[in-house]
Amino acid sequence: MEGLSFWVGGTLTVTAGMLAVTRRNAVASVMWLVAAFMGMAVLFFGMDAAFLGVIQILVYAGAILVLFLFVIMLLNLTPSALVRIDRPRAKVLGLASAGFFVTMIVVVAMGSQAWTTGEKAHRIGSSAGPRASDVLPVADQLFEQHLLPFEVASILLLVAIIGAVVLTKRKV
Amino acid sequence: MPEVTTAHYVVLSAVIFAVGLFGVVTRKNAVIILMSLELMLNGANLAFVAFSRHHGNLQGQVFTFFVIAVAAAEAAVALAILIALFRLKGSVTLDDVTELRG
Repeated sequence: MEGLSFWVGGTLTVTAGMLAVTRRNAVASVMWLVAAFMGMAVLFFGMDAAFLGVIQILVYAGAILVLFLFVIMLLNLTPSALVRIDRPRAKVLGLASAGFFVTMIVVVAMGSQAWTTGEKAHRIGSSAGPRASDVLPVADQLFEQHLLPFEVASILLLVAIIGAVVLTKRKV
Repeated sequence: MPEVTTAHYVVLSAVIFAVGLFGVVTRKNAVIILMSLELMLNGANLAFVAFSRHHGNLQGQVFTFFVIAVAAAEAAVALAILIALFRLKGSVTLDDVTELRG
């Protein structure tokens, strides 16, 4: 079951992500990114992180990408305005840096005994205590252990709202 | 089909991050660069949740929650800056905004 969610979610996320960063049409790009974030949600559900999966769909695929879509429509970024040829040198550099990064992580991940043995000794949601996919343990962490960061995050969001309004209202 | 381990998730998160990195380096449209950044953040989130489960500790999930909140704030402010930039320059292509280049 978990293997299924990994392969389905991973394939969906990577494929849709690749399409999202290469499409010329910005609206098509947003739509592929929605698919990629849905794949991320599948991965989260498969990892017993149901709360994050729901948040991923609601906040990322719902709110943030609609904001992107709204701005793209507002700026009227038609494909014809984007037909300039991409720099071939940047493409080579991008592939090289991405490949180098993945290679490094693969070397580290495959070399680690603890990560590859599939040991589930510490697995959350073993018979004792509430299941990890329940919201309750996450809520306990959030509102008991990390209450101050939680409140600071709300202030950050307030500052972001005011900042966005100030930036867009100003006459230039 | 081999068993899925933490290493699988780490490699997958690196691949997602690298796809976003490729977009940031190659694209010139600032909106699409921002979207690639969101993809990179998602790759990091996946690694957080994978290690959270590996260690049987929910703090990784809580941190991912905060990353999502910060990403929402970042997207709102960045898009507001892009709208201001569009008013000023009539474009969001980064080749048209090179005043800070020495």
